[in-house]
Amino acid sequence: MAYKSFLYHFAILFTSVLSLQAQHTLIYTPLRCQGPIPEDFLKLSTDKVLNDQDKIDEKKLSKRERKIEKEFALNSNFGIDGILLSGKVLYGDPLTEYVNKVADKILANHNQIRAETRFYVIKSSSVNAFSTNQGIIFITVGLLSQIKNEAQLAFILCHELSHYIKKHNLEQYKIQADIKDGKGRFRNLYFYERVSEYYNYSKDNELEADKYGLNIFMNTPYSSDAVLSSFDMLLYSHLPYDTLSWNKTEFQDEWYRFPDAVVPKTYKPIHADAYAEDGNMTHPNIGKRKDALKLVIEKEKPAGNAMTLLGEEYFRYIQQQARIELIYILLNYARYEQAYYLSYLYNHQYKDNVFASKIAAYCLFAKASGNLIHEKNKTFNNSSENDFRIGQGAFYNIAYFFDHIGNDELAILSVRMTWQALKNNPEDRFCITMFEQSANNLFKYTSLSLSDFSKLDEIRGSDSSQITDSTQNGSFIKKTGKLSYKHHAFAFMLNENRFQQALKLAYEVNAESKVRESVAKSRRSKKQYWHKKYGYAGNMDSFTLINPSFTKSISGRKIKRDLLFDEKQEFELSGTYMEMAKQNNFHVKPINLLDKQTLTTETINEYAEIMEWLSERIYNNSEEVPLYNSQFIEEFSKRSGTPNLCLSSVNYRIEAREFEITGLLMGIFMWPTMPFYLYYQLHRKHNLVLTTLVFDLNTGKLTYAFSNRLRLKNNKKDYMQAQIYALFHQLKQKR
Amino acid sequence: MNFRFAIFLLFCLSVLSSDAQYKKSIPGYLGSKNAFAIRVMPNIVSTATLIDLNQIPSLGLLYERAISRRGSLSFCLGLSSGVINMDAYKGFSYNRNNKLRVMVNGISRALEEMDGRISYNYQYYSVAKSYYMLRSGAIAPQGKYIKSGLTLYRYQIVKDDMSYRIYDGFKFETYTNPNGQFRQLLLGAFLLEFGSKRFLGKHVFYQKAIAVNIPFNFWESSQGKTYNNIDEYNEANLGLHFSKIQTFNLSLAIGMAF
Repeated sequence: MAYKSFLYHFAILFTSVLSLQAQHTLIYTPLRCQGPIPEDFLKLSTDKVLNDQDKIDEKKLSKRERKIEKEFALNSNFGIDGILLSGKVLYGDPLTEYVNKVADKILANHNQIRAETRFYVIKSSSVNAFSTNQGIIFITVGLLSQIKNEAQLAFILCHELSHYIKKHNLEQYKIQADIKDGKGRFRNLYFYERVSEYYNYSKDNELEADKYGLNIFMNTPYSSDAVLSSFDMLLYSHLPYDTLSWNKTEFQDEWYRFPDAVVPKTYKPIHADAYAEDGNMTHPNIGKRKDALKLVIEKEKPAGNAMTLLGEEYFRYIQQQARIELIYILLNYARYEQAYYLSYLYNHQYKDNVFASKIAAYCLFAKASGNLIHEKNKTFNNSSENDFRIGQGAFYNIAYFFDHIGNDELAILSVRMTWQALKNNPEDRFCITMFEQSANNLFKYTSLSLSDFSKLDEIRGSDSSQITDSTQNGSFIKKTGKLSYKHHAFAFMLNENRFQQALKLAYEVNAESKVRESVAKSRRSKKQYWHKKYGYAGNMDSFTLINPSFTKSISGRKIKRDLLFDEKQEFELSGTYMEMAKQNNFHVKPINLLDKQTLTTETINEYAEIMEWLSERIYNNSEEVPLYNSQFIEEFSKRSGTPNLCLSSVNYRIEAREFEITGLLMGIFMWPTMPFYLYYQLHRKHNLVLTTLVFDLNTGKLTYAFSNRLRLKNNKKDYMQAQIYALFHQLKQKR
Repeated sequence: MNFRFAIFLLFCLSVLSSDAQYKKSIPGYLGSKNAFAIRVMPNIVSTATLIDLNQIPSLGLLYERAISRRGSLSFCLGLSSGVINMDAYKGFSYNRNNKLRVMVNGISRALEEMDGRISYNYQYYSVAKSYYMLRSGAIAPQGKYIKSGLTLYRYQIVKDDMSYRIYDGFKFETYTNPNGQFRQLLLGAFLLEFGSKRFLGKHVFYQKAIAVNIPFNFWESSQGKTYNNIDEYNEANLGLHFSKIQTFNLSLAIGMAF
C-alpha cells in the first residue's frame, strides 16, 4: 500500500514538474481577466454611492454622523472604482480563482459573509492585501509571490475579512473626521496628540483584526503554524521572495571578466527589525502582532494542521504564476535590476529556461540602452538607481554591480546577453530586435569600433591571466595595457557567422548614420518650422481613445471636488469626442469603461493592455528602446486597425485671484477704476486645461502632445466642442 | 483725412498680409468657416439731458470668413434713418457758437429760435479683421473677439421740417427752408469692436458686441462760424451729430454659419 502511494505521489510530482516546465518554456503572456464581468464592474460609481447613501439609517445618527457616512460612501466607492477600473484588477484568472477557492474554504460555515465578499487580485509588486467596507478584498500579486503556503494566504484573508466584518474602514474614516475637525474626544488635544491618537487607533484595529482573524482561522482545518510564519514572511517582504547568491561570474567567461570594483567589498546581510519603532505607523510592528497571537495560539491550541486544502501542486502552480507575473509587473515599472534578479531566481529553478533568458536579456538591454541614450542627453533619472542602497543580501550585489559598471561595459554585456537569448529563441522577433538594437547601440553611443574586438583565434596564444585590470586607471575600457577586457568580450561569439555579420552590419550602419542624422536633423527642423507656422499636421485618420477623464476642483481654503459631477462630465465628454470625430470623418475606437451597457471582458483586457504598455512607456522614458509590452501591443493595434493611441483629459479648476495691491491703489487714486478692480478681484479664475497625448503604438513614440490652458468656464459647451473639433482637425490635417 | 485714411489702410493691409496664413489649420466652428448674420445696432448718444437710445436701430447684413485659427475677415453693410432732435440742434448753435443768418426780403437776418426736426438716412459699409481670443477658448469664428477695421458712412438729409423764427425788428416771422436740396455726405471711422459669438446649435449663432467708431473728424466741427446758407448749416450740424451718435454702438446679431 505504501509502495502504491509512493508511486502515485511520484507520478503526480513528475507530471506536475513536466507541465510546469512545458508552461514556462513558452512565451509568457500576462494574466488577463476571463469570463463574465463581476457585478462590481458593471455599476457606475454614482449609482453605488446613491445606493450606499440610501442605506444609511438617518434616524439613529446625528446630523454630523450622517454627513460623514455620506462622505465615506462617496469617497470609498469612487476610490474602489478607481482601483477596479485601473486595468490592474483581475477576475476569472487562475490567481483570483485560487484566492476565491481559499476564501470558500475559510467561509464554508459563513455563507452570508461569503455572499457579501468579493476577492480580486491586483497586479502590483507591493506585498499587500486590503479590504473595503463594501466587501471587496484585494490581494496583490506581490503578496501571492511571497507566501509560502496556502495556509498563510488563508490567515491573511481571515485578517482582511475581520476588517470587513468589524467595519474598521468606516470607523477609521469617522475617527479621521473627528481628528480633522477636533471633535469628540479629540476636542482638547493638540494636533500632534490627535495624530498620535489616530495611529494608536489604527494599530488597535490591526490587532483586533489579527485576533478576530485568528478566531475565524482556528475554525478552519488550516494549521496555526502558518499564522506565525506569515508574520515572518511579512517581516522580509521588502526583499525578493527568495535569496540566492549571485556573483559577477554570472556574466563572465574564460576571456571576458569584470574587475573587483563592481562587487561590493562587504556583504550586506539580510536583516529586519521585528520590534522596529512603530509610533508613526498605521500597523503595529511585526513583533507585537506575532507575540499577541502567539499567546492566543498557545492558550487555545487549535486542532487544524493542514497547510493546504486545495493541494500542494495547485499552490505551487499559483505561486509560480504570481512570481512570473511579478517579473512582468516590474518590467512595466522599468525596475530592471529587480526583474533581472527574479529572472535569475527563476532560471535557477528551471535550468536554461528560455523565458528567463529572454527576461534577463531584456533587463540588460533596457538598462544599457537607457543609460547610453540618456547619458548622452543628460536627462535620465532612473528611479531604480537607488535600489542597491535599500537592497540586502544577493540583490544588493546585483544592484551594486549595475550601479558601478560603466556604460560601455553595459553595452557590451547587453550584446552578449541578447545574443544568448536569440540563440535560445532563434525565431523570436523580439529577440532579434533586441540583439540588433544592442549591437547598434554599442557603436552608436560608445567610442568602440569593430576592430576593438578580437576573435578567439587571435587571442588564443595569449595568457588570460595577463589581462589588464584597466579600472585602476579610471575606466574599464581605456587602453592602458596590451590587452583589456573589451577585446575578449565577443571572443567566442565572433566565430559564429550570424553574430559576426550582425555586428559588422551594425558597425557599418552606424558609420553612415552620422550622414543620415544630419539629413534627418534638417528634415526635423523643417518639420518643426512648418508646424510652428501652420499648426500641427497629424496626417492620421483614426485612433484608439481611452475614455477622457474630467476633474473639477474648486480651490479655496481646501480643494473641493465633486466626484459625482466629474463622472457625469466624463460621460458627456466622451460623447462629445465621439460626435466631433464623426463630424471630422475620423475613426475612433473607444475604450470606455464607464459605458456599462457595452462593457465586455475584452474591453477591460484591452484597457489593461494599454495601461501596462503606457506604464512601461512612461517609466522607461526612452522612445528608442523597444518596450517589452510592444510584443503584445502589436497585436492590439492590428486588431483595432489603428496604431494611434489617444489619451485625453480635462482639468477644470476654479480658483480665487491673488490680491493685487497695484489694482487697489489705482482704484483708490483713480476712483472710476474701482468697480473694474473690484470685479477683477472678486471674480474667480476659471481655468480649463485640455490635455491630449497621442502615441504611436508601433514605434512607442509620442507623436502629438498638446496642453491648452484656457480661461474658460466648463458650462460653455460650444467652446468645448470647437476645441475638440479643432483637435481632430489638426490630427487629420495633412502637410 | 485722406492722409489718415491712407495710413490706416496701410496698417490694415500689413496686418492682414502677415496674419492671413498664420497657422494653416482653420477648423472654423465644427467645420463652418463662413458666417452670415443679420445685425441690429442701436446707437447710443449722450445729449444734454439723457443718454438717448431713441434713434432708429440700423439693420445690417454681416458676412464673416475665418482665415486662420484666430482671425477672420468680416464685411458688413447696413442702413437706417434718424432725426436730429432739438437738443443736438441747439448744441451746435449755442455750445459751438455757430450762427445762421437767412435772407428774408433781401436782408440777412439772424435766427432767433427754431423748432421741428430734420430727418436723415444713412448706409454704412465696414470691413474689419477679428482677432479671436484663443486663451479664452475661442476659435474663429466663435467665441470672444476684438475686431478692428474701417467703417464708411453715407448719410443725407432727406427732409427738413424745421421752422425757424426770425425777428425783422418789428415782429417775429416763421421761416422754412426753401431749398431742400441736400448733398450726400461721407464719414469714415476707425472701428473697434468687442464681442462674443455663441453657437446655439451646429450652425445657428448669436453675437453680441459693443463697438466704438472713432470718426475721422474726431468730433470736430465748425465753431464760431456764421452760415448764410441754411442747407450748409444743417449739413454741418448733422455731420457733428452723426459722428457723435455713431461713436458707441451696441449690436446684436443672429445668423448661421456654414
